[in-house]
Amino acid sequence: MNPEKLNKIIHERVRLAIMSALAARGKLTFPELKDFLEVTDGNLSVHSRILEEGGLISVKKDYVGRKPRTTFSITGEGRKQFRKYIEDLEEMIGKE
Amino acid sequence: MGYKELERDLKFIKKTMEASTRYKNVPASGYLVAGIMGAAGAVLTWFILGAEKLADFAKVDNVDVKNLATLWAVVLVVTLGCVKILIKLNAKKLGLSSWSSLGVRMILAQVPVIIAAGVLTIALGFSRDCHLIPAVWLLCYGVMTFSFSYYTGIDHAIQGIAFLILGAVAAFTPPIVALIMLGAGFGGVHIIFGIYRLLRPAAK
Repeated sequence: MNPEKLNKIIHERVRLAIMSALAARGKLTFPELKDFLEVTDGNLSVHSRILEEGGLISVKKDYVGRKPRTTFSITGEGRKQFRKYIEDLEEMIGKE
Repeated sequence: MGYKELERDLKFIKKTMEASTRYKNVPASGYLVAGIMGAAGAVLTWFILGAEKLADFAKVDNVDVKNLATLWAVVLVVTLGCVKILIKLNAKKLGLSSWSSLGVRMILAQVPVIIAAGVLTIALGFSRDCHLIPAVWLLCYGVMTFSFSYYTGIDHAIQGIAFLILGAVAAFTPPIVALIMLGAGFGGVHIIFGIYRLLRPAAK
C-alpha cells in the first residue's frame, strides 16, 4: 500500500493525537484536550475544525453555569475511519 | 515514508490512547491537604497516648481507643471532604465533571480493600492489638495506591511501594516507630508527592 493513500485528514500529528484521545475516551472538553495535548487554543481550534468538517468528530457547545463549554466527540464515521487508518498503517509496516 | 516513521506513528497512537484514559483530576493541593491532615493525625495520636503508653501499649485503655477512633474518623472525613472540594474545583477549571466513569471505577475497585482494612481495625481493637493498626492502614493504603497506578501512571506505583515499605516496617517495630511510620506515610509521602505534582512541568 502506498503511504500517500493514508487518510490525509487524520495523518497529521495534532489531528492524530485528537483522534487517538477521542477514540479512547469518546468525548473530551476543550480545556481537557488542550491540557492533555499541550497545544495552543488556536492550534486545537484549527485542527479540530478540519476533523469536524471531515465528519470525524462532532463539536458541542453549551454552558456550565455562565461559562461556555466546548465538548468534542468522535463520530461513528470517525471511529470507522480511525480504525481503517490503523489497519492501513499496520498493513504497511507488515509489508516493509 | 519509511518503516520507522510508520512504526513511530503507531506507537504514538497507542501512547496517546493510554495517556488519555488516565485519571488526572486530583490536584497537587489535594495531596498536600491529605499529607497535612495525615501528619496532624499522627502528631495528635502521639499527644493522646503519650510516650508512656506508646512504649507500653498494654496501658492503652478504652478511653484512649475511643479518642483515637474519633480523631482518625475526623481526619478521614475532613480529608475526604477537602479533597472532594479540590477535585471539584480542578474539574470545574477544566470544564469536566468531577466524577468521570474512570474515577468512579477507580474508587469502586478499592471498596474491598477498604472493607478489609476496616474489619481488621475493629478486630485488632477488640483483641487489644492496636499497635498493628498503623501497619494495616499503611499496607492497605499502599495496595490501593499501587492499583491506582493502572488508572493514573507511575507516580501512584512509587507512592504505593513507599506505603507498603512503611507498612512492613510498622508491622514489625514497636508502637512508637509504627506511629512515626504512620506520620511518614500519610503525612510525609502525601506531602512529597503533592510538592512533586505541583512542581513538575506538566502541572504548570
